[in-house]
Amino acid sequence: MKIKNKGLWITLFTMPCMLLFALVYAAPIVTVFYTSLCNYTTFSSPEFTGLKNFMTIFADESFRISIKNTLVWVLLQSTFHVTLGLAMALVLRRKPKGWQVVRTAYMIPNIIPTAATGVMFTLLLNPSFGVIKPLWEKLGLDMSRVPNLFGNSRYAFWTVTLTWILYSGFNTIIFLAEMGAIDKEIYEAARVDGAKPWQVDRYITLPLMKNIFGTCVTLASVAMVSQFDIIYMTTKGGPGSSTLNLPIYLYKAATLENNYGKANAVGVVQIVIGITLVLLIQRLFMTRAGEEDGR
Amino acid sequence: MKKKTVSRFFSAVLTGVMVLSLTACGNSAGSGTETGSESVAAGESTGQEAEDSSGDKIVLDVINYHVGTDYAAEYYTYLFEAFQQTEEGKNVEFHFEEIPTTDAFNQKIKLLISSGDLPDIVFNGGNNITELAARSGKVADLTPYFEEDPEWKALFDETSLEFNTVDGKIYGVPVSKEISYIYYNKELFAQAGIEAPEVSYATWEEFFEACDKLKAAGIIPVGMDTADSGWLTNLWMSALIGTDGEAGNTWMNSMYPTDFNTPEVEAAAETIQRMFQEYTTADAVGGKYDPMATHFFNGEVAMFPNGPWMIPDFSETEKAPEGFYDKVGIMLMPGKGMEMVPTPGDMVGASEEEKIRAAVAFLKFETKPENQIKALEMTGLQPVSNDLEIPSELTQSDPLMAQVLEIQNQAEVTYGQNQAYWYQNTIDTFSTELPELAYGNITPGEFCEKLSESAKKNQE
Amino acid sequence: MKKTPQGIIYAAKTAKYIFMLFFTLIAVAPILWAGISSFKTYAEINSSALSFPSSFRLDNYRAAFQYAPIARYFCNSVIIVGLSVLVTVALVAMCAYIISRFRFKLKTLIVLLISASLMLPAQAISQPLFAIFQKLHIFDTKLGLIIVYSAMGIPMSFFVMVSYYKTISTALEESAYIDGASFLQTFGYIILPLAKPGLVTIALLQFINTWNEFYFALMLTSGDSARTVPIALNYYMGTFANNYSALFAAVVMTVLPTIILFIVLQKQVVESLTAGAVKG
Repeated sequence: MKIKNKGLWITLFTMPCMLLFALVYAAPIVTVFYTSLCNYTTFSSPEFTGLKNFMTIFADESFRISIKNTLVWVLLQSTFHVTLGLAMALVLRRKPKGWQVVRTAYMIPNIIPTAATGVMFTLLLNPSFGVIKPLWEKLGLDMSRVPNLFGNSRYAFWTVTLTWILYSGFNTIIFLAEMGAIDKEIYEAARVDGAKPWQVDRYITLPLMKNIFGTCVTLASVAMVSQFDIIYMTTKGGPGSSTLNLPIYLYKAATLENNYGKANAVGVVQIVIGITLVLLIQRLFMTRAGEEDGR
Repeated sequence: MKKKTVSRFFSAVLTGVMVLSLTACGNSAGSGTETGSESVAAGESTGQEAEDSSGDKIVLDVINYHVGTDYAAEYYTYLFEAFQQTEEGKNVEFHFEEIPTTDAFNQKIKLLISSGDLPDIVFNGGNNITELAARSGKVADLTPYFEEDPEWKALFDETSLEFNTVDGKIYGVPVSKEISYIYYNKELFAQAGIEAPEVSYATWEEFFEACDKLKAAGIIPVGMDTADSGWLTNLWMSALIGTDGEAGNTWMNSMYPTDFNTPEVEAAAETIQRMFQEYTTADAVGGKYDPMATHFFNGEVAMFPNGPWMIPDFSETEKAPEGFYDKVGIMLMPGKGMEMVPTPGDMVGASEEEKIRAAVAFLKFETKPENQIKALEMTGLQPVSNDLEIPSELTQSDPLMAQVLEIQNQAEVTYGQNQAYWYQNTIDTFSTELPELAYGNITPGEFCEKLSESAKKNQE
Repeated sequence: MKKTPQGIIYAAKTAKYIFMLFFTLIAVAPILWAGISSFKTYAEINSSALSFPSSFRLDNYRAAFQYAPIARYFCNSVIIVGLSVLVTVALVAMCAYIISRFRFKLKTLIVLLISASLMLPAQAISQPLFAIFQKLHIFDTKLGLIIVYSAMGIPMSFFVMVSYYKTISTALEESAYIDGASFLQTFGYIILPLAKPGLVTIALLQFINTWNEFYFALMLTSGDSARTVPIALNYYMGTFANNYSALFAAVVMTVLPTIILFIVLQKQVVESLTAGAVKG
């Protein structure tokens, strides 16, 4: 493309965004990276100590567990969760009866304040008066062993996962918007050729979703790397370290141990993991798109 | 032109937002004037007045977390207003910032300690705030003000003041004392055919015998929890350690312990494990305070450890069934033990002499014997001073509260509890590892090791 | 062409509706449950999760107004979130377009920076931000929160928009340039109208993300003039005095208008979807 003053437009269009961005993020990014190398607590101002904070956290078993939990959640979210959103979008795309209701309803869990969601789930799954006990009774299982879903480390991880993994309305909306952008004539042509609905989805819609799928996977992964609120409201990382992830570990280092240097070291690890994921996912979806073009 | 297209797009978004904000805010403005929060209105008006008349008035910044559903919200509304009626307070205006919940309050105070200015009067939400604030140099040394007014100083005992002293200087004015013991349900005890002791069970063996009898009668003996710091379980555990001989008592009365692998603590952890497995509700593990309290209110649990601030709840029909107040009895922990800790005191963040004086005047007003009694009546906060005369009406209007005041004199052993004495992160470890202990995933010894490990993280 | 047997078609249809029904149910259940709970007493909430309230009384709604300046915070939320949505959408619409179309030196750096910021922990940002905002005198103002929220919204919206722009064929722009259109004309007349569904989508996402933000709303304000709904919700959670009933009443009151707003905005999406069908 030949555009007059290309450089000027690039600057003009990216500048406002980057300026706002710099105002909010520039100082914090520098602070986080610098102080992660310092002995820095509520009591003392930053004092350079090299990699000491990183050695401390990597020697800590619960930190390693928190990395593991974070990654498992990333994996679950970027596969199951995003696919669920895509499936819902594929269903709603054809505008079956009541599709608008479903689309709106499916977004509701994302609008409810986390504080309320947290309280709700803990009460709902309470082993003595929640939904589990009557369910257990119906199934005729041993009543003395009603599972304590948030309290027992055997179930806590999956219970916490359950509070978000099914609510994929976010992705559905994104996919729907992208599907709306597909040229209707392609569908028309396919219909005339007698393609079955699943064939249309498989050979026309899905390939065109590759890009946005990558974006959704990126967003889902990143959201999981920094997932905090709902864990804090329900288990605070426990029992033991069963639901501990990086942000909770960081929060505890900052507010309970008052050790900002250590907290920011965790922050750096979190950023590095996040960026690696973003680059990895983009590479993954980019090359695939490229292969297809080559055929 | 280009603008047109863009504006056409945004007009959609804008209309949405505007329509909503107009209708919503129109409605809410109406209801706001009718039923709007009183304390907020008060805060606002004082704030504005303060600016108008700052010439001759002293304006004190206060961050108040006793708002909303806080147990002491009403009392503090009263206190601020009453202070402004006094000689020392008539020239003082308060400028409030409200922060609901202690948790949020503490976060904000920590932020202000590390990168801002503290308010003129700094309420104390625990969390080792006293030490953090003192070391930051952003709160005033109150020692000279205590020295210059011996009568005021005499209101506090040695322990209370020492608890608020950092490096030999007093920074906090303690406003109350915290005590706790056991509430029991007389009806359930009768059902199980056992009689509660006058003051306390002589030993833990007797206590657990009673638990067995309750259990045999199909009654769950004790209330326990693990979430949000495991308050109830903490009270049981502190009692177990604190009543376990000289060594246990000394341990439970020391600040910031780092060695949890002592025989007394391990033994207590073992007992706690047994209590979870045999004597409490199914939802105790992972449970929060509120559902546990409701178990007690509903007569599903026979014994519940807590302090006097719970007494008003017994007669609140929102929470407890009618007539519940009369079913509640009070006893000390086995071996006449009682948890008792001084509270972290309120501090002064002002730096100008004039403001410091005004803030100290408020704190003096807050700790006046009359107000200590008032606080007791309104919130259940125990007076920090020891020999206050308790009005006789109280015995009539609130016999349980009167009994609390009476029974605490019979305590033979007193000890602290973890929220006051342990490191923040160790309390958190306690709360997250308790379920593991309860389900037998770790042994009591391992449990104590985790606590030691976490406590040691605080030492440079 | 072979016809698919009727049975399979029916089965597929039934499966589809079961799928839709299931997810609608689990999505609506929470807010319904909160609605029902908002009429219960403290004791009822804490002793049975599934029961119905003994009576449909409005005490909790009255209490919700009494404990917290909820109406005022709601208005603040609408203004702050509304404006931050506009700012984010406007800035991202421009920036993402450039990134999706052109190669230039700093491109990788911009993408990297934006990715990094997605992961920055709030605790780490709050301290430097607090200091900067005080110096700029925007601490405890709506403007301050609007700035933070707009910036916070950039990364996510950015990724969605870059991807969306990529679905728009460059052929249109090229022919526009051949016809002698300027850059601004091309962007304003050709790209933006086509990008509408994407823009509405990021507006929705940004709205949802900022509506419940708690931490910055707390740390960067000190008075009632700039505080938002999530802080009001904290008024119902005191030590030993959680008022879940009032909390749920407040949640219902604050969520309902947002659902309405959401429906209004979704209509826009539908319209823009049909508009998209006409494109060449």
